Amino acid sequence: MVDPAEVTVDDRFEVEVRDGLVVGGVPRFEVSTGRVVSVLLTVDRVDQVHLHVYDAVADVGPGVEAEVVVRAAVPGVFEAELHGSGLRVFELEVS
Amino acid sequence: MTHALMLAHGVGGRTDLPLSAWQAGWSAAAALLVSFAVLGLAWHRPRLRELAVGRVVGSGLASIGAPVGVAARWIVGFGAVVVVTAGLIGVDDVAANLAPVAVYVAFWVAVPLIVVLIGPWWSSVSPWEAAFRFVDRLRVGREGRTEVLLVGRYDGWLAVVPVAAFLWLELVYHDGARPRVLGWAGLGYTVALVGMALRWGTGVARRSEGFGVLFGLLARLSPIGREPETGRPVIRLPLVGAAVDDLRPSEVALLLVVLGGTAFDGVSRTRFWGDVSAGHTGWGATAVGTVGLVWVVVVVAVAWQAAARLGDHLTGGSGSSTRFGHSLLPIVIGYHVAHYFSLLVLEGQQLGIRASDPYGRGWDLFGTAGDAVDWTRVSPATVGWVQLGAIVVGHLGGVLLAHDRSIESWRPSIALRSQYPLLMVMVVYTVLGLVLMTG
Repeated sequence: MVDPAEVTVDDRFEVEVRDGLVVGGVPRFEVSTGRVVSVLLTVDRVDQVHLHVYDAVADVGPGVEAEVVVRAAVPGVFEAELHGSGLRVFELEVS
Repeated sequence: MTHALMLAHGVGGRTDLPLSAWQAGWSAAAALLVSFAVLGLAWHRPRLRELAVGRVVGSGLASIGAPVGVAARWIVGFGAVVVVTAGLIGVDDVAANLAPVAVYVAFWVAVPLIVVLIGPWWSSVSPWEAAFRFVDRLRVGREGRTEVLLVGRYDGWLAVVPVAAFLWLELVYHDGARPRVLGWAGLGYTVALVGMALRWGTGVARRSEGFGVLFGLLARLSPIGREPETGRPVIRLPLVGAAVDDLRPSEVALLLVVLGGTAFDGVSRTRFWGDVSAGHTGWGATAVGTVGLVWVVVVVAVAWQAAARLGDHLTGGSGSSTRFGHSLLPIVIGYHVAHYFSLLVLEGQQLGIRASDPYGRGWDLFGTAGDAVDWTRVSPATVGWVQLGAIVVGHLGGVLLAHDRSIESWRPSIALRSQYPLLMVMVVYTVLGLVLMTG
């Protein structure tokens, strides 16, 4: 995970989880290799989000604005999910 | 949980084919149809059975084979003990324990590939086989007395159980990669097999050890085989070894379960399945997954059986399912490669890392504990081509085996007719398989 204060974010995305479901369905965010990506999460329950392979982790919950920031160095499609509930919240496609 | 999913469903990064799913599907289907036509026109005499005899290799290879075999037996046996004890008493963390990677990558992904490459060696190194040999020694003088059980109609069917249970743990159970779960499963399975061997004889136990049965079947594809009478190693073309023996019904069922399991893993990564299972967690997710797994296995198996029945009908014969069952072998291994290649190359790196600290206690036996997985070792495009190639080659192998068997059984016009339903199933499997890989 990249420190958001130290880099310029190239691509910004947002995801909202309500009542155990991703609002509008699980999105897939497509970015090019090398871009700095930020995903802002709003989740109505306390949990922890984890982006696979990049191993970015952030706490989420009511009133908590969680932001996952990574540099898209590894190509492929990667899932992010909530640790506690196992819910898939978004996919990041790097190509 | 997170890592459980990662392991169970391959690497988190799914890779896209360099061409679209439909292009890949249609090219593969076209390759099957063309090869079918070419075989029908040019291949009128069964040849594979004679090719399968192979050439006995000199005593050189055989003599280095023996000590290598003994060493491999001890290494695998010791490794199995480490893996099971790591599962039972190591740190109960999927990300730090050796057991999940060893079971799901080394055992389930690598062993089938190795037997296809270098032949029927699993039975010489299998830790369960070692246990059976020990039981044989205990039972000297008593053998044959209780061996009658399960012989006959139901013989061999028990082999389906452990493999089906394994697939369920891998693909469905929500805690299936947890070290404790794997440790207890490994120990329980071993105890059950040894108990079975003591009670009913090692023959029954061997035929119920589904992984040994499966790996033995897959090894028939290997360019290295054994001479039936002498057991001496022979070299032959790959694939042809499968043409020799018919499969039993229970062995066909075993292959269909494995194929269905791989197909379900593909289905479970699709958006469609994401929508179906959304909102289910824990045991709820396990229940939904169980229904999905059973459903996909049933669809794959029913498609096969229906094609076999239709083949029987068209030829007026019977037993197409087992007569052509061996043509499933290259297909199973093709999907296995397509599905697990990236897991092997990427997550497989964890094997070397965790071997240094199998119990997650902070050891660093080989100085590799601090290494990190290099996620860029293969590009998505390479993975895509390997997937496409493996599926197409697997199906071509299946078509070839089935064609050769059909002209062995019938005169050319009927033989060709027997193949249409099977060809249809293969085209459907291929197209769906490729769509699942990429969708």
